[in-house]
Amino acid sequence: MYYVKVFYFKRFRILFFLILCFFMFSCSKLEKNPGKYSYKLGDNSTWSKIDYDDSHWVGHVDKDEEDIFWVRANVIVAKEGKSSEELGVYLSAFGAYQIYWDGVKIGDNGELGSEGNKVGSYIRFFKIPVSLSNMGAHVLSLRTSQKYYSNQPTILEIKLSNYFSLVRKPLKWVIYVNILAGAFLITFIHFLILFFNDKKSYPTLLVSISSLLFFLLIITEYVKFYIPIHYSYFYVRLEIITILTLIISFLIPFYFLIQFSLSWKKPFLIAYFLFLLSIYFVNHEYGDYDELNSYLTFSMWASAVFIVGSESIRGNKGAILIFIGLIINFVSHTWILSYDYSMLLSSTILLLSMIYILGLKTMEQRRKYEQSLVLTTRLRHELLKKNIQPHFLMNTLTSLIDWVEQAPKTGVRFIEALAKEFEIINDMENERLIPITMEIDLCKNHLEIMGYRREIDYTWSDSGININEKVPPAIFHTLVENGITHCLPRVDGTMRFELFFKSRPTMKTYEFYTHGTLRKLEKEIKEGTGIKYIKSRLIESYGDDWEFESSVSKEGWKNKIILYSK
Amino acid sequence: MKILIVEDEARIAKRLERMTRAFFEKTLIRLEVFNSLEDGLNRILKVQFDLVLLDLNLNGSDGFKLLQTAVAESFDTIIVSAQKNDALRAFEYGVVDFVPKPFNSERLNLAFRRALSKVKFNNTGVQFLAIKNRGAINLIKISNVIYVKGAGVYSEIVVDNGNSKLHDKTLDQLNQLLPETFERIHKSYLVKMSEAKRIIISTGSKYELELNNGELLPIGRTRYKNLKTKWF
Repeated sequence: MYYVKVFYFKRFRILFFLILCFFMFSCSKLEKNPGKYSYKLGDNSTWSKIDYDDSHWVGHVDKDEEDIFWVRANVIVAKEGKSSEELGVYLSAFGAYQIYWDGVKIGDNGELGSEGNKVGSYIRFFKIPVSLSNMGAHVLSLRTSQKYYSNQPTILEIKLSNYFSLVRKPLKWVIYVNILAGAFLITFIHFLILFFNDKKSYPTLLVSISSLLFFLLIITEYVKFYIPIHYSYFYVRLEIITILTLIISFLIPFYFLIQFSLSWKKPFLIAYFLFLLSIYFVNHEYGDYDELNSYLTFSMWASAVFIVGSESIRGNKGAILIFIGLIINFVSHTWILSYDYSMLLSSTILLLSMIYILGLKTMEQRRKYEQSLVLTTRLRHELLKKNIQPHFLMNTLTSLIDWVEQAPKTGVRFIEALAKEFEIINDMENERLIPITMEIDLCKNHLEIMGYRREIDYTWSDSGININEKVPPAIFHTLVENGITHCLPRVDGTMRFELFFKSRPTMKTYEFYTHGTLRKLEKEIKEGTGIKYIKSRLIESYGDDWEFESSVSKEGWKNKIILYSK
Repeated sequence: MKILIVEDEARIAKRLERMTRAFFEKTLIRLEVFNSLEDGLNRILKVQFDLVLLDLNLNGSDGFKLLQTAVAESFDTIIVSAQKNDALRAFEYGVVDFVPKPFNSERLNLAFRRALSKVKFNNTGVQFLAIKNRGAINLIKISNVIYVKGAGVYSEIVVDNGNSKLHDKTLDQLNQLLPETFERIHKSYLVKMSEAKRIIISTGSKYELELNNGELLPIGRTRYKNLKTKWF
């Protein structure tokens, strides 16, 4: 039932995504405002006059790099300003020009006609003489040359307002935005330092780089307001912004994908990357930068939603939180906020989400590490206790007393064997892996001790052992203990133990045989504390890359340990 | 004496055997050693024993299930075990003694003397009596027992709901195992004194004990005085 639900939900989400796409595209078409600007090639000072008849002027001329031409814009001053306030005009335009208001020159930008030196800026503010600031229709005209991007329109945007507020408004915005940029810069440095402390943590590096990209994006976006940018660099700046957006659009989903262990990572990434590139190249025309960026951003958002949504379905609470954040982001972007606010909100939400996930993952790693420490400590204790468990210790001492009383020479050998067992256990107790030779010594020694106790002839043989191999401490010792406890000796009063080792490129196999008859139920042995110890040791040193099998065979009891190499 | 030893460590089994022979000497009629309880129990079915020395952790198994089976039998049970912590619990089931390993002959002999003397000793914490019931073992709580009646080689245990069960041990054996709250009022009766109401003396020096449930049990003439002084 659960799988059916997931299946349908996934389908529904694809549909949902497509609907959103459609929505987005229809909402995001930025209005291009060509305005009503008239052009005429040539040069005549009368063309600036307010009463000049420009009805025969055209909306576009083909100009060469060397041409001088005029542009006229009919504008309206809507409100009567206060006499103390100066009117000003904000002009965003290509070209090196002289600007006229009602025939009066109010300023210039660059060197008209000789644009060898790139002087001036494509964004300028000019004061308008008070005498010419009355309400009504006015004419703004440019006497200009446009060496660079000569096939592009000259005037991009004109705004009329109080001069001071025109100049100040964008700067106020820049102040607040740069605070956010500062925050991104700091997170860039912070996570970069974290990364250098732990060079394996690529997600940390990704968060750092993403912060840097957001920082650069903000700076590049708003630098136009406080650094003069020559109009020949207009598209360079937009190109930089687009490249930054492209990289971010890939990195953010990429980051979420590697933090969540979803099975379709690789194919999705490749497809998504190609998709982004195709958007970039297909839409790459002058003037379409806004649309291009919004497509890229939407793709990023949509794939992030898809990835985070997939993870949310699996019950990951962190993912659910981020999913909500993304939805809020979309809602605010589409219906509430303007482009600027929306971009800032998006970048903030996304970066915070990334940092949040990074934090969760770090905590999870830390928890796993602590758990492994706890496991190791517990296993050490279990190993040490093996020799002082009452069952082992008291029985050993009792038979030792008997040997000492009845046959002192044997008693002494018994004591020596005991001493050796304690010594070996002491040597291995602090290690996670010990040489196989040490383990075999321990087993043989244990068999000697048990021989004194039970008066059964226990024999050990091994084959194929590689003396350079290491194993967790006391795992075969435990199997020997189990064998002695749970098996009866053979008819001749002997019990044989055998250990085989086989090595292949992908895996190493240890096979351990106890030759005798099983006394107990298989099930009981398999769930005993001995087997649990062995399995815990294997988990401790090999994670998931091992197998342990126990089975009854004709000859007795067979145990197999397989260690897989990565 | 017919004695059975169940011990899986050969060396320790030899030690027990040696010490047992040394103590009982000529009174020892039969002494057998097994290294698993299944084998030992099979033997018990065929042959009678008076005393069993039992290790609780034979071959890694849980001893208390085995213990329940053992104490339901007619023989006295002495535990010889490496797990000292099991002692308290072992006594709850009614064993004669618990000898921790390692042991010497003095300690073992003390246990043998306890088994022979049938004298009560203060450290009994018996909580259960184990009864054989169609292949399974039932545990009766001592708190539910009113009195025990001797019936030849068996004992009849009378419980507060009116039922009575047969136990394989003799009244002498049960007398040793049961706590001080149980008094031997008659050769054939062992009563939990909290269930006793009063003594009734009838004509002809007939002494009877009236129980809370109304039953009348005979009091042995020789035991009357002791009973009166001690309890009334």
